Amino acid sequence: MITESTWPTRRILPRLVASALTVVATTGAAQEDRHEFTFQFDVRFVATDIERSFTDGGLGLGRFDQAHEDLQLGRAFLDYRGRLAETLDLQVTLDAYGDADKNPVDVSESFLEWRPYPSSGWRWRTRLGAFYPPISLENRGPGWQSVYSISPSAINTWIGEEIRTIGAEVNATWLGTRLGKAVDISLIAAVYGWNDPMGVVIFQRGWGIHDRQTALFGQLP
Amino acid sequence: MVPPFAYCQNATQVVLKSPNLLRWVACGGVVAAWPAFAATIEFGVLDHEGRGVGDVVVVALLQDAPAATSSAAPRAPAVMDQVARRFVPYILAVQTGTPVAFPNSDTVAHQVYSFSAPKRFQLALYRGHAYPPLVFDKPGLVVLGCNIHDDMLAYIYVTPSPHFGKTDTGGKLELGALPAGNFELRLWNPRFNEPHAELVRTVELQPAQRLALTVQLTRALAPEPRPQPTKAGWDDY
Repeated sequence: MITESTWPTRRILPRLVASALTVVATTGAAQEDRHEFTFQFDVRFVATDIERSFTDGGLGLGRFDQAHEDLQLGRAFLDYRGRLAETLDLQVTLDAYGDADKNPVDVSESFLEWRPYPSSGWRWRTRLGAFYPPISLENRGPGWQSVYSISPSAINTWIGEEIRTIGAEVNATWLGTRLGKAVDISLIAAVYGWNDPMGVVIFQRGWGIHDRQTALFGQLP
Repeated sequence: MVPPFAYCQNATQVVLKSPNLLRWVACGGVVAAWPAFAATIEFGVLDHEGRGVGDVVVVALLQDAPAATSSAAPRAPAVMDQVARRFVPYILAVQTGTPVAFPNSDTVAHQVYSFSAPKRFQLALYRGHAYPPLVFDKPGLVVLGCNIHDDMLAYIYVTPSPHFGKTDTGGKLELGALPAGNFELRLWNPRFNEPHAELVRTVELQPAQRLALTVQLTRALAPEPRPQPTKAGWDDY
């Protein structure tokens, strides 16, 4: 049920303006060999004509509505990557968005990754936990943020809202570039559970354009 | 099609038997560099449009050489460093038996591996640890990767010959101190698109001869196999 008034054509523009007016973006990376921490936060100046955002229980497609004009916390996150053993990594991302979420700080991704050395043209990687599927080249920054803009594409916005693999994923890559060929080819399969039916948000509200990822244990009004 | 040979205009020009996949133009001249009896080959490697091709490994193998003694003096170590999440150099040519050091100049760890037949190894390089060099004791091509950073790729070309080098960015290389005799010349680069990745010719060198050789490829170079570098820390996938 997407009605005329919720379709984002008119609403995207103020969102983009708000993105452009981001006033502070700080990345602090304390890098040690086996433990790598990335902390990042950004503050945004918001000007919008969205009446009631979905973060406040409304049907607005952006994160911030007219009740949130002025300075707002964009996102603060701590990303940890640790090497538990030579080929076993742990990665955890803690998020805070400063909105009406039930948990002020929550987890968006947490998983173990086993990456044995390739001994032939095939390489195997296994992830166990809660993580995003390797779905695009857009959101590949720390904390699954887009490397191109504050707000990702509509489809990645939806993935951030509704999709998380909670389970196990196996990635088999044929290392063509190590065998004198031009490309590598990856095949990925996952077993997962604990997911709500996908598409509910789109059904209720339509495609959104924002960077508000749903936390694993969080709940918005 | 063959551009004029720029740096041996006064020398006798000899066109070697030209295989249809590439053209070898040779011009030889005796240089009055008495009493130096060592011969020299000046290489030029050009792509199909006449531009110089850098990073081409050129090896001169003496055909009638006595079998290499295994008790040769220890060779000076070569270095394959990691800088800003890239291997440096991209292509390293070494003689068989050369130890290669893998210092890690980055602040992040690397896990270097190879599953190439001449040298299979796995080497986790953490900061603040020194690792003994690896000896590359079999000839052939060793492809390196990093188990953490997928876009890191490099090659170690291991040759039994002591006479080898890499062309500069202009596609030129001078191989000096060559004894007289029959040589097999081999050229290699991962981007060569010729039917044979390794281009092979034979030449006979006279004492103190100065031979200039230009190789022009007939096909466009393949795309760079090394992925483009990504911003540090932004490469989950």
